[in-house]
Amino acid sequence: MDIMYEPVIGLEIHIQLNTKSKMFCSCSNDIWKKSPNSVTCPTCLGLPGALPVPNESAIRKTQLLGLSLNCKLNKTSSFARKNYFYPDLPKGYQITQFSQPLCVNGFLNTSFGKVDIRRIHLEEDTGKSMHTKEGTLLDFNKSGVPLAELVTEPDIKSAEQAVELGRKIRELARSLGVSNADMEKGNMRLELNISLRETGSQELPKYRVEIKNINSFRFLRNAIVYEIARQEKILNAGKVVEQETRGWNEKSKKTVSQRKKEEEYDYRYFPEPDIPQMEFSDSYIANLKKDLSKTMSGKAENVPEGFLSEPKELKEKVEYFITDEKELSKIINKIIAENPNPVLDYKAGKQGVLQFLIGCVMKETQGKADPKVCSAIFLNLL
Amino acid sequence: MLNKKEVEKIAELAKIPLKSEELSTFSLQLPKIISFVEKLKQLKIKDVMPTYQVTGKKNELRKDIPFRSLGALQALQNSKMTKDSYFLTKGVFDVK
Amino acid sequence: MLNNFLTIQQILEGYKSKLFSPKEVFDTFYDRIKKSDPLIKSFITLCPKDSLKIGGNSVPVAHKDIFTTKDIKTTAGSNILKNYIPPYNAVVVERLNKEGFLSIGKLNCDAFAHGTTGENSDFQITKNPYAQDRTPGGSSSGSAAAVSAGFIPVATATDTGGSIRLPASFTNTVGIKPTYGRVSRYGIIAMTSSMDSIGHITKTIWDNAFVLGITAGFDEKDATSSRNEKDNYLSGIEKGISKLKIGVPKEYITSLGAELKARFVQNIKTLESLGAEIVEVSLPHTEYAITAYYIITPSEISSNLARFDGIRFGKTRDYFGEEAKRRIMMGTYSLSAGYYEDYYLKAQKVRTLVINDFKNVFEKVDALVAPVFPSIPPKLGESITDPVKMYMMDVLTVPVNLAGLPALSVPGGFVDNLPTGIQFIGKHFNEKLLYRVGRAFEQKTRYWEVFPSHLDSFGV
Repeated sequence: MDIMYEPVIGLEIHIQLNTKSKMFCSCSNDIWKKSPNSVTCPTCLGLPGALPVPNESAIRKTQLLGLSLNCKLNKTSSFARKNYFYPDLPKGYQITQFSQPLCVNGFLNTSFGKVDIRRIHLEEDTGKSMHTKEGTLLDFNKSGVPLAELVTEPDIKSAEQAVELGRKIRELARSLGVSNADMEKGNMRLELNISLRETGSQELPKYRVEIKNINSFRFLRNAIVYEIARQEKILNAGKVVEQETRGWNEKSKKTVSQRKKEEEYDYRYFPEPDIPQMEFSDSYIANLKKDLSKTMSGKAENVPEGFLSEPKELKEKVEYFITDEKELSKIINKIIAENPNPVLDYKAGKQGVLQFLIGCVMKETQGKADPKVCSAIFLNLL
Repeated sequence: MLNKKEVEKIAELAKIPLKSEELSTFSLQLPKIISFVEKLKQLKIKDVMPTYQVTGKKNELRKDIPFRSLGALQALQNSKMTKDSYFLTKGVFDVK
Repeated sequence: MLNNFLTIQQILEGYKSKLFSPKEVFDTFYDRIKKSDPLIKSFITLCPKDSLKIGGNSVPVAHKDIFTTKDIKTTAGSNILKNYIPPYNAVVVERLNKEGFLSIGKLNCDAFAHGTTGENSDFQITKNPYAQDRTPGGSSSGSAAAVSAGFIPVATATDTGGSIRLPASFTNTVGIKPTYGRVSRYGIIAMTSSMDSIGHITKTIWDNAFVLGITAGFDEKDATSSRNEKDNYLSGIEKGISKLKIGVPKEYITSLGAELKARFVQNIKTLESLGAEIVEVSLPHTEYAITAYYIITPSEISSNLARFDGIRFGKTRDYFGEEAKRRIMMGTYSLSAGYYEDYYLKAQKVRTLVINDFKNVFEKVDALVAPVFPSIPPKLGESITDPVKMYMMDVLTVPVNLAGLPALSVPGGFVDNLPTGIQFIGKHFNEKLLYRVGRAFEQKTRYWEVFPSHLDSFGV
């Protein structure tokens, strides 16, 4: 008899900030469709002798994003070097944040429950590399573009919740005016960590699979659904899921192994000596909060749940098609009949099984069911 | 203390290609340098705060105003291999 | 033909009183370089004279080859940058250009400034103009030798662990290591980002103070550069040192050889005769400073040299010289997982202790005086084989770098006909006081007027 598993998912979202200049140099941040290497300077090209100076607007935008997600803003924050080699990383290190990020400990409410946000930090983007037969082509226009990196706790329990979270954050970034968050243009990039644990268990799984190369919410949903099934199969066969990095391949509609993660790469983080620490006064933070409420009050419809001001009804931006209770009840009854053991587990008190059952409905309806309605129906019937 | 294998690992991490004579030389020299700096171990200074920056400066930030860039010609002028304004490399690097 | 040991002060006064023209000055120096640099080997690149816009108050300057100069080859003394032509100027180069200091060439140094004798240059070994079988000191070997030999009145240089003060003391020249952050690092090929100090070498104190007045000052392209207003370094330079309290750190004297000690004692007496009060002080963590330095420095080097991948510029990483490879690997080791706390983090804690030592001492005295090197300039070939032996040569200079303090190396007299130096160390941003002390000492001793006798010199 198969054990029931539930997914444990964490999202990493990179958001390109829409400042006028780059993160550590004064090159223009408007690089869309510019000819290769035309928007570069000694700093973002990593030429010998060049130095970084942080963009105050990028810092501010990251903090606004953090505040709107209920984060605490660190009063002291600093940059660090993440050292590794790759052709699109001109300095051989990325200037990012390590021990003192700008924002920590936030959360966002979704219709499936709260998702905690571990941190939001600021860093620079790398250049663009394109692999061809002749070799790798490199364009450093993107090098140095400011990126806010948002990391959630592994609180996400389904593809639907992940997509909802991603969409909300995208809307938030746009409403705040901190990013165009256009995934097709690469303004917003998603990565996820996913593993499975026995349904109802409170422990974190002992492994994590990292999925990269997710360029749309559709890919996100498909990748999660695929990966859950893949991992389930392995675990049910009594084997161990390998800790690794996989990429979503849209053509084959599969995740594909990219790199084994058995040994974590040693990035040798150390504090960035070229950039003095940042200290934020109480008045600076108070002013940020003021600016934030001003910005958000003019866009009442788009205020997501979980924002500090009075809770407003969320305008559903998610396209769920089947909301008809009768139609869904039919499907739900079918699912209940097909899954006697999970139902028993749920009735025995394993609350987490509900997610699994809703997931079955989603599979059955190719993702078109409204999970909120499903949830209500299940609760009614069970 | 470092043995040859560990020195090889460090060289790989630092992307320093080493010939076999160099590997031997460094395997002899690096442990000596490490011994030399290991004197620090004598000090019991757990509660001392580290100084990463002597200036004591805070908040040196730049206004968000774009300036003119170098231009592709100057950006590419020192590269051995370019193609259509791109840098071209055949180098093999580890994936990040 | 003019006297090629003309100082900047003499040159500018000569222009003012129309004694000679800029063209004559440049001709003099260029002729001298052509005649004698094949022996001394201080220049890596010499710009064609007719490429320069000589006129007005032009004064020749040359730059240590880790200063990026637009359209002029910049090698850092390393094969990896053998053909590198930067598309931009270092801020210091721009500031000097603006004031009429024309770059006539690039000067030899230890590759990437890693070295104490100049012998780590991938291209050539610079000789000491006072004794060509001896080192002129490093890493700014070419800078010190060129000024010392009368090739140029001023050369830029950098001091991360003593690389200005040591060569200045070996070549009877004046070298300033300004306060960290006093002079912009933008455009200087980085070695230890948290310690690189941008300075210069001249024959006299006046010249040195004059040039600092041009290079010093906040630069928005360098976030670590100081927003403190720069001083007028020349005003009050003749004030003398009567009643000034000058400390002698006892830990710096123990390693001195007998002759150097005698020289140092003599120099202390001179300071006393000028009215200063000499006080013995203690910097108890001095012995740990060098170990902290040789952890922090390779660590930051290993990161700073990661950009040399041969893609956008330069050759591939196998072209690094031996010392560069050694430091990169040592640094990678100190920063790596499992070692970071024991090495890099601990070294930064020692740094705090060294800073506090100086803080305590400066509550009792106005400045410090110390030797620069425990013995006479070594012979070439003596130190190069043992890296640790080489590192120990920095023991009297690195504490100042850890703390970011300013220090001035001034000619300190001769031992066995070889130059020695003496360094004055001040509180942060107190270069003005150092110049005042240096000037009083220089005027009394006049050591700088003993020019290298092997090379032809033209009397004033």
